[in-house]
Amino acid sequence: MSRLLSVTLLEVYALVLALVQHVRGVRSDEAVSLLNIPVFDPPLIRTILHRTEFLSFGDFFWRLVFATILIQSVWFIYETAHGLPQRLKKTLCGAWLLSASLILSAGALSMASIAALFGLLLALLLTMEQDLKIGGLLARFKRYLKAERTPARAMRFVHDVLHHNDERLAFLIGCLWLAAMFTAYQALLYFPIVVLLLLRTKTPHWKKILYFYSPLLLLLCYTLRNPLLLLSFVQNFTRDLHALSITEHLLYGLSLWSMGGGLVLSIVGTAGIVIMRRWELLASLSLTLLLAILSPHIHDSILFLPLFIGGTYFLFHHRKAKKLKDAHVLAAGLIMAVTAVFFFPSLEPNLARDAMKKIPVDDINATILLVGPYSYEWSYYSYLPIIHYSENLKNPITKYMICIKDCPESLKGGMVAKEDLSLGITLYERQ
Amino acid sequence: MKKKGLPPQTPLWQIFIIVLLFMIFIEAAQAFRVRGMYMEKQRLLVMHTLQRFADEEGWFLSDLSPTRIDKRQMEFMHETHHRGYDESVCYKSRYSETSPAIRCHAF
Repeated sequence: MSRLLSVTLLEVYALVLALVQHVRGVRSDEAVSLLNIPVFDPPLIRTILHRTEFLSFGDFFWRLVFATILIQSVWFIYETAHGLPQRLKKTLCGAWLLSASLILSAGALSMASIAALFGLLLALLLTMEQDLKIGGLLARFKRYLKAERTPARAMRFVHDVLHHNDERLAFLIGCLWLAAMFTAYQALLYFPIVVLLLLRTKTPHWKKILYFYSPLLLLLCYTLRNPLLLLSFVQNFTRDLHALSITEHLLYGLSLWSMGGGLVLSIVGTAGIVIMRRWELLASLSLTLLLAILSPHIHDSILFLPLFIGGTYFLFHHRKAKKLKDAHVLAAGLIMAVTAVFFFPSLEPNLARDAMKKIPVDDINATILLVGPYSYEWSYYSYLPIIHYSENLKNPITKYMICIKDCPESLKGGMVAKEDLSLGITLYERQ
Repeated sequence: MKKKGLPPQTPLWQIFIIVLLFMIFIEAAQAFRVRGMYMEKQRLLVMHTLQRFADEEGWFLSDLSPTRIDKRQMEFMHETHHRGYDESVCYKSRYSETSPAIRCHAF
């Protein structure tokens, strides 16, 4: 019963985080995923998200799903850390739930969150290698049947089955790697962990090479067949690189690192990775930090979190953390909560949502002319086709016009200003 | 240990490689059709043409996707992205400044 209560409370937490993001409205990178626009990410998850476009509450539905997956993943941590004392297990779980990156990203429709979930599964598979000392598959199966069924216990049992059959374990890792490759390019940052897990399986080398390289080859072919995707990736990366000074890059990288684990977990996790000489985690951490420095995006901070969880687990597991007192844990929790509040973005108005509410959706033959800087949330909130103004536009005659910046007077002929939205944005309608 | 009467199980790696090889073949074939985008001179022609159509028609570049690139002409898909039905149309055009975008046979 207490487990059910805990699940319910966690779900309420996920709901609150989803609601906060819903109030903020759909942002540009989220609209890309919801509309299945091939500019940032591979197609797996965004294709699924796009299927529910017909639902008026589709974005909130997926926010709740993403938040639920991230928050309830704490049970995987809880069950996997079964070799730790109860207090340290709960500390580790609390660190996952209170980290600023999770609070920011749970409820946001970011592919980095799903990539981080993949990273967590990999880190937990690493930790499972540590204390699988109980023998007897049949005895474990009987204990599983008697024990309370939870997703994490199922995962442990599946791992046990796979551990006794390295062929299946390698196949599972290959499938996870393939799914991650086609969810977010950021999942590439975890390749050192994938390599180590595959190397540990007792399968022929050619199978390890197959499971590791064939998803990469498929991703490469997919990227090459979408040249504009590759071009936008390079352009965005170059723009990010030149937008900031070296000092600003380093500061942003440090901010994302501290946000990743709510500062406390960032320090402890990094220390754990270094002290315990977990080279695969260190390699992934270095790659993630490099990405955070070169191309800082706030939602990428969650990519650090599974690495910190892994590092902290190994530190707790192999070091006697007797000196960790309740006061220390409480202080750490307080610092993490303050960090989360510090980094949480403000609730700014969503201009695209406010503007599109003024346009009737049943005017199916109408078109909207957008004048000014464009971002993808305008397309998400529009039920009508949008065309973008440029000086060479052949046919600027449309039913509606949204002026994000000052519109040329030549466009206003026959148009009446229907609504003066905030920040100088005006909606015109043709009479 | 195999049970009598049951067919032998296909090794997992065979399932993995068959599925992936099929997908790699499909993607590689399409990537080959647009290989011109990875040669600088042709890429500049393609991007200039796409940008011209984007400016003239009010399209967004992210809604355009080249599907075939030859030395003298190209084919591309224009797919609108907004709530509701997303229209997807195939066009072809030569690289000259005055060539119009003509609808091709949709896939």
